Amino acid sequence: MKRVVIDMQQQRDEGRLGTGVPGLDAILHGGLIPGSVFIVQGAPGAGKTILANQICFHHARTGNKALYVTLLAESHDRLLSHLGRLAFFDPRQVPESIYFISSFDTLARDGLKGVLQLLRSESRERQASLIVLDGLFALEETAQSAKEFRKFINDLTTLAGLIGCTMLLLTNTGRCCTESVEYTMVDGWIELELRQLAQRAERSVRVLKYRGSGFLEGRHTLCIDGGGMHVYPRLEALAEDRLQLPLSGSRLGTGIAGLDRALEGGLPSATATLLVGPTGIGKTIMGLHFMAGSSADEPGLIFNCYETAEQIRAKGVALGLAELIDAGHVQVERVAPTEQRLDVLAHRLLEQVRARGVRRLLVDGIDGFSQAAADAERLPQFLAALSAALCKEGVTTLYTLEHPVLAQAGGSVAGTLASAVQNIVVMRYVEMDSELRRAVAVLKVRDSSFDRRIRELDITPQGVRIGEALPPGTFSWDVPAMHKT
Amino acid sequence: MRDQKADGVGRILVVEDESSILTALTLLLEMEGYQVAEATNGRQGLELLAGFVPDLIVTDYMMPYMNGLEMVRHLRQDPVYADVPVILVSAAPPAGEEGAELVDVCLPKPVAIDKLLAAIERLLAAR
Repeated sequence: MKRVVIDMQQQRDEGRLGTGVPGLDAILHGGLIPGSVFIVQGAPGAGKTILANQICFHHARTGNKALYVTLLAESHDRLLSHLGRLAFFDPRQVPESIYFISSFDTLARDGLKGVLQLLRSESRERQASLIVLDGLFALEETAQSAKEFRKFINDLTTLAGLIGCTMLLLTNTGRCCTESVEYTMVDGWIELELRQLAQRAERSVRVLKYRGSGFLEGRHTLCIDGGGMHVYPRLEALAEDRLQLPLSGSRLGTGIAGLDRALEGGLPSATATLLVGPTGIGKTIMGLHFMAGSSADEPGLIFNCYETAEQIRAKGVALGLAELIDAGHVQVERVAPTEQRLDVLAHRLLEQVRARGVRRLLVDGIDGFSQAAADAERLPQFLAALSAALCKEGVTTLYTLEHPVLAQAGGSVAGTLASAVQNIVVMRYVEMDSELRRAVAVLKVRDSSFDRRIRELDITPQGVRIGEALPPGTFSWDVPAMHKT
Repeated sequence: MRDQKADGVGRILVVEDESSILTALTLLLEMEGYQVAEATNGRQGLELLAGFVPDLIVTDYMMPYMNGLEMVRHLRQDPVYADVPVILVSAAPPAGEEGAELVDVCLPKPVAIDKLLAAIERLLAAR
């Protein structure tokens, strides 16, 4: 017993207990406070058992011991068989470091008091510093009264504090946690949710209470795959500093001389630019010009929703992009927005940006993000947070957006994006001399002067060419009020 | 050599903490004609021996208070039970664990009924 207490004290001094669930510790501001009691609530299938076991196996990997106690749950062999398919499962940890027992018989025979005694003796015997009690609802059903159940929870929290043992109490959902008798007694409350959205299901995790600690509020995307559980903190919640960073003053060439002239030297570095226009007008090829400026010192990433790496490569041959891709200076990442979650896309993008030190980024088809959004209302805040995070990483980003009628942009994705970017370049078809031609104009550049005049744009086999400003009166162009100047 | 099952004297102690598995094993063995006593952990299994001398023991490994191997270690120190055959059923095989060599047969969970019954018959016949 003494040895356990010493170990726990050491663990407290060292700080929090990591969960081993990617992303979850960020939500919990570093992990679980040792000696705390958490309720993990969720409907069957929400992922409670996987979450608890992933934490147990991480705990074991870091040299600690865990006790997993089931009440009315699936049998241990079935449980271990299911877990065996997940990457975090390590059979060598069972039973030496993770010990599975059932307390069903104890509960039936000796009631809540017996279960408490069992936890006390087994945690000591196994030197466990983490206990999972799977099936709290069975204890509540067995309790003779709400008072007895409250006392059990109280005894449990006392025991946890006394021996420095962290406890996870798993229970089914179905009631408001704040109205539960145990809400005020436990240290933390984590809720897992499984929502059905049209044809797809979306999992999320929410921390409702964490005594003695801050946490990232609200729902965060949760995914379960062969690697186990992953949490993707809501990007807006993560954005520590939404203030716009001061511009460095340096510029990145777009690779198109005419556009660089209009921008008075190129795109301000570490800013986000929206390139908006109708289908087929040349947004992607404009973006590829920008990416052709990538190098070993300025690595590039093309994050796109609609074209394969081969298609991108073929389009960029004349620009020298194929060589840059082959040399690894430009990476092409294709994502299928309909099968992705908004935060999964963002975290994946940011991971790659950080891993490769990306400086030039083309997000070709930003509307893919809106397709991935289960909740369209959060899109403005999400895109603003994404842009802020990319700027903070020193990335100069070019988003392309297909949008036919600029004048109606106010309430659309374009309007949403306009407030999330520093610079806007618009493209459209214009009628001149009885034919449709392409035109481009810079609409906004943050904290900088620029040439507002409209220029003709031509797409040639060698790429995009932008001419001199068109003479006044060539055609009329109603510029939309989609940005704040 | 007597046929204990045919004589109706095959006495089996089943030690298992998961009630659904304990019930299933007991039902199965009783249907096969064995006399069965139940315990939900190793300590309770040892206590039961005062009133029930088994011809064979089927035990789980991970259980509260006393695990299956700890129980077998205690058993083997008593001359009365030193030769009682033991079948260990476990979701986590105790390879290399102290006491694993004291077990006659180790079967993985979920238990294959035919293998369990065959092992029981073989061990009882060999007594």
